[in-house]
Amino acid sequence: MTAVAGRVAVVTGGASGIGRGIAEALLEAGATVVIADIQPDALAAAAAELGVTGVQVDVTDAGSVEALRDAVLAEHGRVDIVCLNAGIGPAGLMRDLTRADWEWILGVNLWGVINGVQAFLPVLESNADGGHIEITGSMSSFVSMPTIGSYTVTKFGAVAIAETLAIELADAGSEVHVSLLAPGPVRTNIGASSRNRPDSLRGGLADVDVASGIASGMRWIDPITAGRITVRAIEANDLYVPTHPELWAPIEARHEAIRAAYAKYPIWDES
Amino acid sequence: MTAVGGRVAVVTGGASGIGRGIAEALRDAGAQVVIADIEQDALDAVAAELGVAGVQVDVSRLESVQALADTVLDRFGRVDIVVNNAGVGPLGYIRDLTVEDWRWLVDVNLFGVVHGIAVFLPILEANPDGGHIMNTASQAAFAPLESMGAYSATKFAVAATTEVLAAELASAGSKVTATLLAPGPVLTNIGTSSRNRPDGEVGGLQDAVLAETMDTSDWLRPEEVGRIAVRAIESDDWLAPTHPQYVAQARERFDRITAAYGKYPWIREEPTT
Repeated sequence: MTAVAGRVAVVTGGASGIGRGIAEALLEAGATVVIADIQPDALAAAAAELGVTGVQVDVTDAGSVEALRDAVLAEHGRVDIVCLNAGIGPAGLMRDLTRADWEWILGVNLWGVINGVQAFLPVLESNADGGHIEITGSMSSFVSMPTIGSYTVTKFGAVAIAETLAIELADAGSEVHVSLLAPGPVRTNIGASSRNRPDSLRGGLADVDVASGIASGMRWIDPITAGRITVRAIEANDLYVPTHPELWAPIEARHEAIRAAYAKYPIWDES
Repeated sequence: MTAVGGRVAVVTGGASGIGRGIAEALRDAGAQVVIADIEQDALDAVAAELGVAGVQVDVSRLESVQALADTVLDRFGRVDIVVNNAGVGPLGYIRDLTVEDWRWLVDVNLFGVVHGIAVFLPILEANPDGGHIMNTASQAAFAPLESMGAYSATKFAVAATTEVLAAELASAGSKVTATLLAPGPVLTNIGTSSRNRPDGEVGGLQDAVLAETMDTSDWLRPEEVGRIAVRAIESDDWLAPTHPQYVAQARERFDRITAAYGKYPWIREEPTT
């Protein structure tokens, strides 16, 4: 049980989409919230609307994430809940991806998580009552789909980090807990990820409208709903936090395919 | 069905461990094999021992992998099978890792595979009869273990890379196929990974003390993994686990994920006020 009321929470990617939904839900639950984002205009607007502090951050840069941590500590004296949520979701076939594509998406989605854990874990562990790290993965943390290969790579990496960290913290008797949010379709602006793409990292990845593509026919939820699910998971210290339990079938199909491969490969008979 | 006899195969990390085992098995199955490795001494020795070609490569650098492809094309005129196998496996608790630790593992284990695909996939697709890409992940791609966070993150990532690649190639009707190799414990020198760490880097990752301290009764030898790999390439299997008895680890994790999906009921849209 992680208390949310009265705690200090930081949300990266907090100026829009799921991050903003998480920030709103944390506010509802009584937390003091700092939103961090790379887009200064959206950050200022969202911070004013929500009545919270906004800090600009580039999660791809370890130094920038450390500066975020220091800014929050300077203003609030502590950090209890860290939501490593900033992410992008462009699409492209594996065969079309360039080194620059991989650097862009790994930089935001995977290094954003790594830099966040590196910067904030020691602070949370130094709290007498611990804290919580939320990592925004995806349904794509559990299942792979064509056209979003590099995105899937980053979200598989995120779940591996979340799980290993959870195991290590539990074994050490730490009071810091970890949740991996696994959203299905949420009404966000992730389909306009390229607005924040550095000019130096252009390539084959492109913005895509998944509502008319791989996520057509799926149930779409609002960011606040994803945020409330996240807050419930933080309070309950749940590791895996799916927003769309009904999308279980493709995950089960992948697990079955893996089990079938294991069954097909008998123990090697040395002869 | 991918033919191996008479085909040209490139194996990264081929001078030791699983890569050497795969190179040996491919050679025994009649392939022309090129081993590629960052360690020049080991490369020269193993190339001579196996009677195959050796090319130095640093898989963490795109230009180096491109140069490997150019060399192989110059000497053999074609490439049919690519095994993106080079990898490192040091251990460290996430709380002890530095950004440099993460960078090293991501550069070798993930970018090594990304570079292999970026450089070799167009070459394989240009073959009238296609080809095969095998990427070496790990049992840890399906169930992460304590002190293997950074390693598991890269191996989960390699699993995703290979699964999506295989699906995209299949839906495009490509004659190139892909396999994810998922080794359990194998008697290799991955426990001395730091020998190839870039000079001057420091962090919390330590070489794993493996065979010296553990029950190795079900550990495989690299040549056994090599034969599993060749069978998987010939069969175009998307996943080749070397230790089927370890399915329990994956199954337990899958059950935990299943339970989480069962625990979270549908939450209906609610007004925000």
